[in-house]
Amino acid sequence: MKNRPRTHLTGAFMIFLALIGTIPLACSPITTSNVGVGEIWEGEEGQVLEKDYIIKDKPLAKEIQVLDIKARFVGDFLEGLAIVQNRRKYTVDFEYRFEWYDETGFPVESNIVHWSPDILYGGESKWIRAICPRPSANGFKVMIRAPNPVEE
Amino acid sequence: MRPGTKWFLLTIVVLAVSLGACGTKVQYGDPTAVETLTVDFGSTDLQSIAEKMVRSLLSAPVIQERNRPVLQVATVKNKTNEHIDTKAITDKIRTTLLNSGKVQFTAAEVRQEVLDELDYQRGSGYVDPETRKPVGKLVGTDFLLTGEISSINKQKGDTKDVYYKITLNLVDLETGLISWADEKEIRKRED
Repeated sequence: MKNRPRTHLTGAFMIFLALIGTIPLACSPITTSNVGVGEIWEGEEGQVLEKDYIIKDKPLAKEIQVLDIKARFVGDFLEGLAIVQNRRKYTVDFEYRFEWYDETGFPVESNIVHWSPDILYGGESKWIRAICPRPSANGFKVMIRAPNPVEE
Repeated sequence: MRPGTKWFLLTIVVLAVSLGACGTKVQYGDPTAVETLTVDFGSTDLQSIAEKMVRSLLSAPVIQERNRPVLQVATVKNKTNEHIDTKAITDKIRTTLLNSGKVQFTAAEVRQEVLDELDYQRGSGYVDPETRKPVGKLVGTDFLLTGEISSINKQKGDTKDVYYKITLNLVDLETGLISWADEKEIRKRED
């Protein structure tokens, strides 16, 4: 008889532990990836475009997710667009850059490729976009990282 | 070791360490990185403006539907209260557009030098007539690229807020109409 309350208490403690264990899972959203997610898309003119994104920082990958990546040709030029969303309720700062590749996978150089600062308010989603000013590009990667500015 | 020598060596070591601490460190940085040293116009602003304007111009029907139109960079007025090298902005846009192969540019800023060189080839007697460039063959400009940059500055205590707006226009020289225009807004804050 003396042992019963103790068993009851141990069971309650186990349930309590299980609940505690599930809290981090419930609170942290599923991280899509902090590495690239590749996708192949057949272009209008038959070109195979590779679209890809990389979130370079693990904490940022928990705050921001890439909902979609789109690509299209504007004349000869490849335009890329990514829809990013803030999973948190607070404002998140980030930087992004589009990197362009030709059909052999070589990078296409452009003097306007640079890290762009941007912000996402809590729960907001927005698109980020860029165009490759060289006609040889047919694939791109969107690089996203936490702010890493040149500062004092 | 004599006590005097010991103190002399110690002084040398202390001096060397002190001088080493005072020395400046030089290192290369990433020119494509975001720069937030001050709220003043900076490299990231220049790059953002060039990127937006190039994207807009290359997508514009006036560029897409014509066969390599000839552009000329005219004045971009600086209406802010700080020194901004607007030529650095237009140079970046011009270089990127030229490398796209979609447009051509006339070299307006070296026009006098071009004319002087043509005069020299024609009149000096030093240039082989077979390699002499004919006059009257310079290509006429189709569009002028103009614009202006303005800013609104606010300060309260130690907080500074700066808003920049740059507008570019493409003016058709045949009709005088503005065939394309776009703007880029930038807001920066320093606490």
